[in-house]
Amino acid sequence: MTCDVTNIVIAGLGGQGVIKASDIIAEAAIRAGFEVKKSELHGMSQRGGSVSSDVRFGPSVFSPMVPTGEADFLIVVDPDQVSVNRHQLRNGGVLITPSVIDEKQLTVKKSLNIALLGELSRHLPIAEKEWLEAIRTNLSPKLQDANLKAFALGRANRGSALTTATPAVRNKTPVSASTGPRHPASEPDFIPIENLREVQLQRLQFIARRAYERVPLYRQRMDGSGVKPDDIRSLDDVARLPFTQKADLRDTYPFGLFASPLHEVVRLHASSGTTGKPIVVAYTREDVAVWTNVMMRAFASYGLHEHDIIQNAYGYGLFTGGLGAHYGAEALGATVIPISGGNTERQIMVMKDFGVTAICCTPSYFLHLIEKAQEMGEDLHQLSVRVGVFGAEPWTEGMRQRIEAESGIKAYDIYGLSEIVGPGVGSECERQCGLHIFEDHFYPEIVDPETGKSLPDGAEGELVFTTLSKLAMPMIRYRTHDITALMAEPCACGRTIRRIRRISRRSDDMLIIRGVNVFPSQIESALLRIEQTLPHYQIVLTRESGLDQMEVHVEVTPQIFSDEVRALEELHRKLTQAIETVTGIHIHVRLVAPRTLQRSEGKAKRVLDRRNEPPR
Amino acid sequence: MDSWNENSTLNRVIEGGADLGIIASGAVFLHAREAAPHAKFFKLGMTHPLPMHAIRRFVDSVSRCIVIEEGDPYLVDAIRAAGLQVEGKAEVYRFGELNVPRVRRILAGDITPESVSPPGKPPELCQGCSHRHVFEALRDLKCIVSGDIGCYSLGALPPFEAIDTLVCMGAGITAGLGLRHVLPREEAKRVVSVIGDSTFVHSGITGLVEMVYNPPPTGHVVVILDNSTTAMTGHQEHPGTGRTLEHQATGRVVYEDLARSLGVRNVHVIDPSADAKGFAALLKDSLAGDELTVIVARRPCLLIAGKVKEYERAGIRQTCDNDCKKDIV
Repeated sequence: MTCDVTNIVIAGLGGQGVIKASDIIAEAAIRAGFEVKKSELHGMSQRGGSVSSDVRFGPSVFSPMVPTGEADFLIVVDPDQVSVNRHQLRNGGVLITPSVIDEKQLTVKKSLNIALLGELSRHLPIAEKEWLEAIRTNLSPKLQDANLKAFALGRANRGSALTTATPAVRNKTPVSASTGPRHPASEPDFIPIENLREVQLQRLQFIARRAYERVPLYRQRMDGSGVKPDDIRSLDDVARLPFTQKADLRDTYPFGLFASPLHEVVRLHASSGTTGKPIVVAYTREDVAVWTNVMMRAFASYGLHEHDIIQNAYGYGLFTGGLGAHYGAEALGATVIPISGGNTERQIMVMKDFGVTAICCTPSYFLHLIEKAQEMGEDLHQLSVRVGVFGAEPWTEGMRQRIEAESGIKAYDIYGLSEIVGPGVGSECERQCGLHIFEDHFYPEIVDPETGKSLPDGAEGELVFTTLSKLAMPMIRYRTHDITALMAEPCACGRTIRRIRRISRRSDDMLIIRGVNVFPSQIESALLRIEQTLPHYQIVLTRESGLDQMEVHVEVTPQIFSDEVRALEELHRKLTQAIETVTGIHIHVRLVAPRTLQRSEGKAKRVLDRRNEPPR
Repeated sequence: MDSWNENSTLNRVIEGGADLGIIASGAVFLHAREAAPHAKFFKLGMTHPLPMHAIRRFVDSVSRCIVIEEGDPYLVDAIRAAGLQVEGKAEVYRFGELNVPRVRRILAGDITPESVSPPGKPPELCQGCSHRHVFEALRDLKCIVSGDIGCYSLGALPPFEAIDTLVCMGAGITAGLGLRHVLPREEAKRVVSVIGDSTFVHSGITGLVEMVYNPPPTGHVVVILDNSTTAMTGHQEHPGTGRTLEHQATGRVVYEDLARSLGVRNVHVIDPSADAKGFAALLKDSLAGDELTVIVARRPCLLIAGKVKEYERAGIRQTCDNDCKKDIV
């Protein structure tokens, strides 16, 4: 994944050690286990001309050159070279110049390049010992002492030191400040990992006890597997707790898993169920506060703040999307437009007239918005909207590229599920490289979907969550059926909370059509109620105008087929109605002649996914 | 070779979506992979002779096929000449280095003007470099200077702007001779060849031979800029320094002796830093006559002067050690 690549450009004048510094960065990154590529402009530049070197590292790197405007870090050894290299830096990238170093403290003036590496090292996921070893291998013994000291000087820089260094060089570029400073709401995303684990353990112990003491199902399960709340002594002990499944929510419908009395519950939401009955979730006042907090952190990680105008096109109502995003955006101080879903023309009018800077909706709906805007003669590139917060359905990198190219916005993925809290369980950061889980509230695990055995970070499996702070409805090891992996590498953004890879598939076969969960088994059960049709049917998925469409092709029996048209029409009506009753949405049904659907040799292929095929 | 390359593992196909196929080689392949991660790729490992059958199979397997290469349209012309329908890059991308953003533009068929990066600071001769005195004199005497490849190529830039031609290694002498032969006398008299010491031993000697064999009617003046190292590429030793690449003492080519032995009558050795006026006067005198002149402007590069002394001392010590041992034996 390109997004996992860290791009560094180091620049200066010939003789300042630019190439040497880039060699050291590359060596340190190799030692830390990354793939590294490097390229440079040098040669005559030794005679005082501009020199620059690109270093790129990550799990896998293609091009050896940092694409223009995509450098995460720009280190400039000569202050006069800032202006000619600035265009290399991405929006929000970090600029490091000599003004972060008190040059008087350098024993050898020429070690400035290494002192700047010290500053850089604070931002990178490479251990100090790798840096020191890289410096030793790249410099002759007599230069090592002075340069190791210079490195230590840069590395000892703290945020405050940077600002105190600034006034002396006010005429120069301000420094080592990310162009978009960290939002205060994001602080919990960056807490030291030991503190995070400590908080998680305390909360896990609390929630296991609360679940055991207050929810009969949990007590029964835990007793059954011989584990008591007191047995939870480390985070690894979470694996001793029994799983919770979606079926458990259905079986205890509506309030059976609540751990708080109803008078403490301030909100109920519900998501579409698989058999007609929805799943009910509950929130105390404290739970709503946690939800608001994680959604605010999600918004902050896209660089949004109180000056933004957020158009919330998620549905308001029983669906968690609308109110979840709404509370978070309000807490951020942004101006929220609770427009909810639908009425596309009005969405575009509001986006334009209100000067909207961010929009929340499903990615497929945004594709629809793009097309509608084109029809209306509006170019989204010309509008002030710059951020899209897209979730509630799986989407791909290809879709992101298309959205970003066709609208000029940055498209961010957000993850959530009602059972855990709603939107805001996890979210991308400005790197757009995996979703950070707000794991101080939702403890993630990856398990083998077949055996339920815990898998290590990096391995692909089913995502499982334990809510750590939810009072009204604690979820103990809830099986999401989403297939992903916890990413082992720290994110280049510096957040300590772990990331999951974007969800690409589910361990079951749930389909999401127009934001509604649909299972092939539902379709099957609907068809089963109507005679004369089974066993041959196929669900065909397509994408039209950016929206996922489902069509059900049903083979009729030869008898019906030869009958009069009215009988066929009647059958068609009954089928459509039956499916709508079960799924809650209108789905096109097409009757086809006997033996026209493709037969499979093994398991029947019930779902024909044509969403990624070019339109025919 | 042809059939070998058809089946060679040097060429490989990277599977991807059938709607876009990209043919590329070298670093451009890497830029393209990054620009279009979902495309199908034919990565050429050997570009001549082209594995045209394999390329044909690849082109047939995708609905859109584009060849991305740096510089001249070599691959795309060859593939089209074989009757295959492939796209190439727009003409504007024929110039300048390709990178990921430019490949993205090529794929999108975007030929809107590209943003221009601000120019960096040009290089210059070091303060205190002995070449500076040489170029000051050449500039002040309004010489027509045939230059060569090395640090001293910077004599073409301000504040000297002294060098007028710069072609390839060795051309400093031969192009200068050509100018002496073809220019009207008044102009020919102003032509000077300038070549560095390592360039001279690399490819200047044949030019000197030519000068003696076919002397221009106005004579010629060659200045060998001897800073006793290969300064531009990182201070490597060469046959004129008398030390091996490991800085051990070895045989040494002496330019003044070489020039004299070839039959150049006027051979001078001077340190232009120690005596800048003397150098200017010597150059002026040499230009006045119609004779062949070689001036060795000798002053070790100041970036390595200290090191050279060290090497020399070590060399002496080594010789002494050996001699002393011999004496004992």
